[in-house]
Amino acid sequence: MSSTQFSIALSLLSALAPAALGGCYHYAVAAREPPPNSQMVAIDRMNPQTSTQWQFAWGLTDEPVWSPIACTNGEKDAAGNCLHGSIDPCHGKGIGFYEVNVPWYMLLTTGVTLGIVSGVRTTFYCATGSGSESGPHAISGPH
Amino acid sequence: MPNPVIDVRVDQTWNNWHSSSGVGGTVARFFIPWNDWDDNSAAPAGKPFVPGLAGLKSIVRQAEAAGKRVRALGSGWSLNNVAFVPDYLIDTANLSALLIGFGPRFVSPSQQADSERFVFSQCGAQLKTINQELAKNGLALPTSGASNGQTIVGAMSTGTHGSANSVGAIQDFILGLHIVGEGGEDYWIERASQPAMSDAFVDWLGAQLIRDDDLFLSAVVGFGSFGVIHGVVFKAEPLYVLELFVQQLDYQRVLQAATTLDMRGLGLPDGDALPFHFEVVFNPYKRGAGQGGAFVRVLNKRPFVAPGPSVLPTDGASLHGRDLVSIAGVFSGMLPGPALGDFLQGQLLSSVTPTAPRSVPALPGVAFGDSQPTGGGTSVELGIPINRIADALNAIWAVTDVHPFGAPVALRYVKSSDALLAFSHFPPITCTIEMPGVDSAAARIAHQAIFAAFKAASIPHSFHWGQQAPEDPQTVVASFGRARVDRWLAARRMFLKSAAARHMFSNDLLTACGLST
Repeated sequence: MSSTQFSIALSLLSALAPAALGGCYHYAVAAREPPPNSQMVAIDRMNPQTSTQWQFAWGLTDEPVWSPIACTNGEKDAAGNCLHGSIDPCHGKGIGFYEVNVPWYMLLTTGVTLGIVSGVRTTFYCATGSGSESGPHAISGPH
Repeated sequence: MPNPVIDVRVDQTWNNWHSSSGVGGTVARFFIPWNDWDDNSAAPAGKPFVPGLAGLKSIVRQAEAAGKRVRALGSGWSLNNVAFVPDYLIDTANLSALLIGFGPRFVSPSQQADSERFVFSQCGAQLKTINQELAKNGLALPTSGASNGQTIVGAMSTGTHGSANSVGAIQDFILGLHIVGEGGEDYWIERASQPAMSDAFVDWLGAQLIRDDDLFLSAVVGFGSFGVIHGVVFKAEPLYVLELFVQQLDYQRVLQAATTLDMRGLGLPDGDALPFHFEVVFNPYKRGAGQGGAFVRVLNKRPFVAPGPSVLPTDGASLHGRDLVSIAGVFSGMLPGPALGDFLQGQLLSSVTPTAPRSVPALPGVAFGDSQPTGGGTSVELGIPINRIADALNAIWAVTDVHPFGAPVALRYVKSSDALLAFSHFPPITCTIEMPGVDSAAARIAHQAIFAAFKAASIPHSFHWGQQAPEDPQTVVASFGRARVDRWLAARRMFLKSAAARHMFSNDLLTACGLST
C-alpha cells in the first residue's frame, strides 16, 4: 500500500470510526399506544420539556436512565432517592410524545472529540386526555 | 377548601407550534392549571372540571390585581400573535374534561329529545380526543378543521373551519359558552333567540346566566377578548363515516367546479352532487395542460354501520394527508420558479395523495391528521364570496407569476357564519383561500401584493384571525363591515363594563385592530 493510499484509508477510517461505534449510543422510548396511532394521543404542545442527555467514552459508560420525574429541589440521598418527594411534570398522565434530535453543535462536539463526548437533545410533551363521563341527569344539591 | 393546582413558570419563552417568525416571546407568568386539588382530594362527583375552573378564576383575579393582561392558549396553531400576550398566558391543554349526554331537564325544552347528544367540553379538549370519546358513544363532531389537534375553544375562537359547505365552521355548532370574566366571575352565555340549556343547567354549573344574541355571536369568535372561555356546549351528531376521495387533475378541468361549485365533469363518486366536503388545492406553477396541478379532495358523509370502516386509524401522514401548513419545506422559499413548482408538486403528491378511483372510509376523528411543526410555517387565508372566486384566482396568479413563493393555493367552501367577526361570513357559502408555506421575504412580498391585488379588483374579502393579515382598524372594518364591528364592540363593552377589564382581556393585535377599547 502506498503512502497516499494509506493516508486515504486512515482518513476514511477516522471518519467512519464514530459511526462504527454508533451502536453503543442508545436511548429508549416507551410507547403509550400501539402503532400506527401515535397521532391520536393528545399532547400539551404548549409545554415542551427539553433536556440534554450526554454520553461519554463512545457510550461505554454506565447506561443512562433518564426519567422525566424530578426530585423536589433536585435533592437526592446518596442512593439517588428523592429526599423531599418528586415532581411529575405530567401529573400522572404520562408522556404523550417524545422526540430525540442531535443539534449541529452536538454533532460537532462528537466529531471533534472523536466520539468521546456525545449528546442528544430530548423533548417530551405530556399527554392530556382525561376520558369522558356522563353529563348531569338528575337535579341534585349544590356541590 | 383546597386550592387548585396551577404550575407557574416565570419569564418563560413561548413560541407557537410552527415557530413562526415574529410570533410569541417572553411571558412574565406562564400558567398551567390542572383539574386537580392541591390536597389530592377528588373533584365533586360528576364535575371533574371544578378544580380547573377554580384555577382559571384564580389566574384572572391575579391578573386583575396586578394590572396585567391575560389570555388563554389552545394548541398554539395560530400563525400570528392573536393568542399571545407577554403578561399572563394560560396553557389550557390539561383542562380537557368531557361530559357526554345530559338529562332532559338540563337542556331547553325544544332540545329535550336530543339531550343525550349534548356535550360539555372544557376548553383544552382537542378535537381528536373529543371525536374519540364521542365515537365510544356513537356520536361525532358535526365538523372540524382540516386537521384534528386543535383545542375546541382555540379553533372556535379564531373561526377555524374545514370545508363543510352545509355545516359551517367550528363556531357554528357551538350552543353556549362558559366564560370567566371580570373579577373572576363566571357566566353562561347563549343566544336569547335560541336558548340551548335550561336554568337547571346554569344552576348546576354555578354560573351567572346571560342570554343575548349579540354577546354570544361576538364572544364565540372573540379570540380571547371577552374573558377566559372555560368550556362550551354543543350538540353532537350520530356517528358517521367520511369517505375520502382525492384525484389529481389539470387546472383547467377543475376550474369550473372550483369557481362555481358545479361538479359536472369531475367524475366524483357521487356524480354531480356537491360533496359534504369539497376542496381544491392548486399548484400555482403547474397550471398548464398535462401538468396535473389541481388536487380535488372530497369527503362524502355516510351513515355509520357497525362495525365501521375496516381501515386502521391513520397516522395522519400516510393515509389522509398532512395539514397544508405542514407541507412546505424550509427550502421552498429559496428555490427558483421552475424548481419551486416541481418541489411543490412533490409535496402535494405526498400530502394530498390521490386515492382515485377508490374512496377510503374513516371515522371523523381520524379523517384528518395532526399538524406537524414546520419550524417557521406561516400562512395567509382570505374569505371571499363564491361569485368572486374566478377574479380572486386571477389576482393571485398575476402575483405568483411575478413573485413566486413556496405555497399551494387551497380553496375550501364553508357555510356562512352568523358570528359577527367570523371571516366566513359571506352568504350563502364563503370560499376560503389559503396559502400556507414557510415564512420568507418572497412570501411576504407576495402576500402584500395579493392583498393589494384584491383591493384593486374590489374583491370583498376577510382574513382568518389565526393567520397572517394586515393588523389595522381599516382592514377590520373593510373585512366585516362597520355595522358588524360596532355590534361586536358594543357587546364587549356591555359584558366587560370597565376599561380595565377590556384592557385585561386584550393584546397588541387586538389594539392594533382597533378592537380593545
